[in-house]
Amino acid sequence: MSTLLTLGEGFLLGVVAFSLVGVITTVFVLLERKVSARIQMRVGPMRTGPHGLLQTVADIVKLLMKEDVRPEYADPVAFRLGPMLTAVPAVLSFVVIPFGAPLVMRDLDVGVVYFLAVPGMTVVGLLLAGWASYDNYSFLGGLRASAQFISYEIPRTLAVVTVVMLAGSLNTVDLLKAQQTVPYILLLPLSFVIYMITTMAEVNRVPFDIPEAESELVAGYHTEYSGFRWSLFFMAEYGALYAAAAFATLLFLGGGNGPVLPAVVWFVGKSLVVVFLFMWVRWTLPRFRADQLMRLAWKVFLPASLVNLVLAALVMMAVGR
Amino acid sequence: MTASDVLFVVFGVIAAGCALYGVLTRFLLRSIVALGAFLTAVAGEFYLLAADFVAMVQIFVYVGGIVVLMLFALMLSTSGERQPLAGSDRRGFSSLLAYALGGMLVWASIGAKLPAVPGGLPSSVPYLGRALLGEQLFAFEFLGVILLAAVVAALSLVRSERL
Amino acid sequence: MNEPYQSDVVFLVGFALAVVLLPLVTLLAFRWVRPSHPGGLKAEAYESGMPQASAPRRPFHMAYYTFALIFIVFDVEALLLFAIAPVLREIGWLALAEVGGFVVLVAGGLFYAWRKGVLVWR
Repeated sequence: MSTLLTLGEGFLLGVVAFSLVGVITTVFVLLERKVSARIQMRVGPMRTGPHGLLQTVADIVKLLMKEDVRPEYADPVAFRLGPMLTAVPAVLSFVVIPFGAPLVMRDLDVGVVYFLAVPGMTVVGLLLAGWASYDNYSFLGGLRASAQFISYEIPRTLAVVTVVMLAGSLNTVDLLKAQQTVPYILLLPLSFVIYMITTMAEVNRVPFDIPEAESELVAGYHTEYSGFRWSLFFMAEYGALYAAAAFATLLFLGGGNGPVLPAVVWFVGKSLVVVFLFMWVRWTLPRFRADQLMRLAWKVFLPASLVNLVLAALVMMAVGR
Repeated sequence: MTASDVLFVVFGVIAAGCALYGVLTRFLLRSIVALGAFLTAVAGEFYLLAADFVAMVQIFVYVGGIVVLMLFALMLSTSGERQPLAGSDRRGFSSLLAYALGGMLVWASIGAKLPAVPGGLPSSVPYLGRALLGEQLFAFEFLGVILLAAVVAALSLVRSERL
Repeated sequence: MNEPYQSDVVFLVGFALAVVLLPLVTLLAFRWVRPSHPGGLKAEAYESGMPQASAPRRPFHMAYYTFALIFIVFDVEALLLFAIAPVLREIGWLALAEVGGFVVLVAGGLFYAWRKGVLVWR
């Protein structure tokens, strides 16, 4: 009986999480457009709703009602699985995020590894989408996106390992508690930098957005998708973006710690600052070429993260118990 | 029949189903995807057996790595066919080998006396970590050596077939 | 057997079910709202408005495959580090030496690949 309760609980939270990611995507698309507008000295969408606030809502209604175009030669199974396999892992990663204090959907003992492992399945989705569309642009986009993803996954993982070394646990709630005194960004600044940059690469954001490069490949692996299937890719991207920002807050910025205000407020606030940072960088820097990107991952970040491991070990010993 | 037994059987059936489909289907792409599903189901089994860390490793390395590798191999080697199909010239020999290995595995696992799952472990991770750095230290370092050898071996294979 | 693990799995199954079902339901629900006129120019691949220049899925660079191969090895190494990371603190200096040895081996692999010129894209 209690099994059924847990199942129901899981299902309910799944609905909540998916809706949350939907809301996040809606808000962030607009936020992105407004931030980019201000950085480029214009105002962005202003007509739909007060100050353009309802713009994305209108976009969503439009997308839902668009025809579901499928290219003639597309493999039906792979074509449908692609977007699902990118969106589902992104939402799944929300399970272990503690929104301040112990407000977490499920306190997994291996939470940290879970958070890194589950989005790994996204790569399969990218490849399927690119391949299934039977289109040179999509295929190349899918391949490049996958190669980029796996190349940056290692340095990112190693940066996270350093935090685990200091905190002594793979449990996300424990990571929060371990930073009561000092946020880890002060103890592990290099890890923070590595994490931030590799995450930008993992989420396909400029300067690492070659797979989606609008001026190069039209729209990369999602060229042939329309309507809701297309928006699934975006839910995956913005969902993963927020999840990564929340994770950064958890790993380095002390999660929900802070005076006066409740922990949730602090957590969400800090994570939004990180998101803004990501957006700021996106609209400021030009993009990397595919070969520069790969070179950076293997010849700069991977060695750097290995060195960082040693440094972090020294920090760990210095800080003591 | 506890709830965990039911779950175990369910995951087992899913795993077996995916594996069968993967082996029997004509389409290579679906075969690989079925393998991915199979590996995820097995990860679920691991978790049920209190090996949560191993379950995550399964997903991280197998689904996020090996399946990706296979997909790359498939996509980079087919020359314009719309639907790469499975098939080979050596089917007689391969099936004999497969049946022989399968038979041995089944026979061995039926007769085996496996230890019971240790009950009440709060978390497998510290247990695992301490073992790797303690009693199993040699295994740990040896693994490092094997992985180094793997890199060297893999690269020499790839380079010799420079297109 | 082990209740906490079991309930974790049950939870995740429920969660995954919801996350998979919602998009499918949405797609289904709007099926009657969407127009549906397949074929014609829409069914062709998009190549900047011109007919498809070359058949896709031609064999591509080996580089992708090589990187995936190396990735797997480093993936396993990263996970092994994850396994020992939480307990490093309690074991002290000896652990550092052990980990140091492991990291040297990992770095050795990277160094080898580098020298072999495999880490170049294109």
